[in-house]
Amino acid sequence: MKFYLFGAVPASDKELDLEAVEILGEKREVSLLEEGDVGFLFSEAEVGSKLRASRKNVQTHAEALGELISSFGTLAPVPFGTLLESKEEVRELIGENYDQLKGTLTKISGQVEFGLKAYWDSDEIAKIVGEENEEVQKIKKKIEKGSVANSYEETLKVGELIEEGVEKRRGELKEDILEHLGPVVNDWKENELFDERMAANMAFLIDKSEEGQFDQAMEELGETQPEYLSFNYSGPWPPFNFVELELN
Amino acid sequence: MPFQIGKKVLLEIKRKVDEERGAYESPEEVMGDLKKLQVSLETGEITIEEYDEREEELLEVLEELQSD
Repeated sequence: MKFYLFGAVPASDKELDLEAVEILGEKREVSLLEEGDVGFLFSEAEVGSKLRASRKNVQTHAEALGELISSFGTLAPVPFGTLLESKEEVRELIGENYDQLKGTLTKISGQVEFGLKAYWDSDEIAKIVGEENEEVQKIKKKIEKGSVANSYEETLKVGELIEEGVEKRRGELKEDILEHLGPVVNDWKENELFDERMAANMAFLIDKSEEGQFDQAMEELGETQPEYLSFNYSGPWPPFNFVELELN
Repeated sequence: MPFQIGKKVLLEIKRKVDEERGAYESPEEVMGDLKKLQVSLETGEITIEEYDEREEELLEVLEELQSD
């Protein structure tokens, strides 16, 4: 039996009735262990020493955290796959990291994270950028007419200009996103763009009480965007991107 | 158009897994393809079933590389 950890929450005097959550393909009871002002949420589970970080497992972990943050309001998540051997180890974990946990919970109190990814068809955006760039059009015409000395170099130049144009579009989109969402958020982070189809990948930290305003701002942002962009907006999540716990 | 690109990513990953397991030299490379696959899923270019099938194979390759 292992102790599968979700994250730290502020200790509470209230009687809590925690609902079971689905993780690793099964509904499991959630327990809370408190030490002073800090509590830790965990489930007992029969698992091997290593968990597979499959889409299904990671998604159910995130969804369970989403349910738990609704109950607690504040939750400092630990990464998927954090396992301990006993309840005593959970107690030790809190004890050895007490100040860090308490400080983090104070810092993120009452706040949740939303994620925003924007996608485009990389061929389509390259075509649009190329059509709008006068220099690209001039070079293309020259190549078509066969009036360039080195068409290979000119083709490379076209590629560079398009790449610059696509990057510029990414920058403009980021500014646009921040202009719409900035007034509602407490903090934001830019995550890695790991594929040319990604136009933006950002995380936002907001007060839980501002969820309605954030939704509204998201809707307004969506209305101003061109059709070639599609958005994937998710949350509320615990602030994964704004908590960096280095637990002993 | 987007569908063609998504399938292209899927087919390229399938080719690497099926025919050239050795094509993956590091866990980071496999992780990179897992991320690309995730984009294909999130943009609706592939189905969850297609994703899960390919992910299973990639995770196996990843575990093999990590145990080396």
